[in-house]
Amino acid sequence: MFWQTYSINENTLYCLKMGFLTIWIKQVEQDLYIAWKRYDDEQDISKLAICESGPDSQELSWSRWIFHSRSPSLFIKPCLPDRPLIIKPEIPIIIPRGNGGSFFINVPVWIQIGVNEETPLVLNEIPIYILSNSWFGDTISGELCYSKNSLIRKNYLDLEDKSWNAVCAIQMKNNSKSELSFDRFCLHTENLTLYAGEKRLWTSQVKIEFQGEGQLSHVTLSKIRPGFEKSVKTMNKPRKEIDDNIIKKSFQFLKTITGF
Amino acid sequence: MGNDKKPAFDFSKIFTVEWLLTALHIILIVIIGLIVIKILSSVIIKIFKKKLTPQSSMIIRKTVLYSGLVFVVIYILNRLGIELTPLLGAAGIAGIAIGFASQTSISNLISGLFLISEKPFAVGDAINIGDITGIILSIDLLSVKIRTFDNRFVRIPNEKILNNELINITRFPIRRLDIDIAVAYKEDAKKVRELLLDIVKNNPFCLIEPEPIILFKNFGNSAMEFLLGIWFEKSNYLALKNSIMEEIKERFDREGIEFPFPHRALYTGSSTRPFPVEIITHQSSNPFQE
Repeated sequence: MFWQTYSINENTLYCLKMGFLTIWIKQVEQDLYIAWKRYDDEQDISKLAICESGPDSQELSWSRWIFHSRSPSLFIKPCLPDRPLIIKPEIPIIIPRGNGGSFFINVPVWIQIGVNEETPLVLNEIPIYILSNSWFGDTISGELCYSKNSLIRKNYLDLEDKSWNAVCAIQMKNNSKSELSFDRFCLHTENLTLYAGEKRLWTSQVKIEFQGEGQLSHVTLSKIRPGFEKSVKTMNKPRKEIDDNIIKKSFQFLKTITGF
Repeated sequence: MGNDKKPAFDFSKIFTVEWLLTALHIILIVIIGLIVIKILSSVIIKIFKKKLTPQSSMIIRKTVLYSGLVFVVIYILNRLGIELTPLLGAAGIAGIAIGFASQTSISNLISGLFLISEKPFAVGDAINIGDITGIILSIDLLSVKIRTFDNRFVRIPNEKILNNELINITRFPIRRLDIDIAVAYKEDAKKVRELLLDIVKNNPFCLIEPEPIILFKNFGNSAMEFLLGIWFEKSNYLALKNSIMEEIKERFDREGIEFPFPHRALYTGSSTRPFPVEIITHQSSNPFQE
């Protein structure tokens, strides 16, 4: 499996490839050097292994981590983005009052590199897929987010199967007295747990209950492991622990955007 | 005889044991008072740490300090046996005199109270007032202290701030950068719009939403004038401004889009015929020589 703990030799250059990203790691005495580069073309995925040919070091900027002793092992884990993600479906979605449904979306993950000392110590978090910066809400009190055009599918098997995507199961319910029509919604990825199944990565399941325009939505995050694969283990805890049931602004309406 | 000579001033009558005890008492009160004031302000700020802004902390600290000092002074005067009633009467008369003499300071003081209650800015905000732009260091009762971006210290009297137009640059989390762009009339306006949108889309400092604004502003004298408005997170101003200007220039050059220079059309008397030019060749090198 790609996401695991590795032991590395001293003075040896290692690299790993994931999507558009290649990461180089080497340990010289106690110090750890990390560099990465993003390519235009997608590459084959390869685990952390000894590099046959080194990168052109002039085009890389290395970061150097100084430790008092040699780190016993290095972990490579997936993690969710550090800011909320605005999901933009291909076409606007309308949910009539009293209705709802479940669907799946892909959430791009980042690579987390760290060392196992007394407690795990994260050194770098590197996005595999660069997301656009965006803003959710009004210009006075909104929040900074990432944005992604996303496929919304009823079956997770219809989603693009890439190692740098985590599947998020979302259940939406319209409890208001009017129809819910939206062309984007905000997923607070910083509150989600990341799991690894045998084939895919998964996030906590999310339930969003729309209460009405002008009112905040009830968002419930499941603490039960996703049951879509047999063996699922926790890869990363939420960046921000929250209550099970939170109230957040989750939708951006067509009305707001078009200015009617 | 020299031994019978009395001292000119008998200090023993002034520095009595009672006097020394009183002095010691006052010194102790001052020291303890200052320590108590310091502890009290720290405790209050610690209790309300999460709810307080840096500005509120500063006001609380100063209020506790000045109230404490007044209390200590009153206690010391009382200990020295000085009656406070005539002193307060004298202070009232002196206050009127000082008030007339220090109208500007009082005006600043009152302006300071307005600024504190109105909260047009807080410590850490970037503001622009007149020719001065900088970060607020402190908001005091008489003045506001600013550190300019070229690291100069500026003290602005509160009255001046209250009477002038003030721009709080960092009040809101996102801002819009407006760039005026002029392109030659021969260019395709639609293509220019598409190019600008593409440049914005690929710049990491631009926000995708709120959507960028591209406005065909005017048919200028020498160019079609566009306004490009890009939203960005307030801390990215310099990075965005530098990168987007470079990218626009580089991309327009690559696509052959011309940035125009001022044109002047000469009217020949007919709207369609060109200006008549006659080329005269002379054998002489001097054109003015027959």
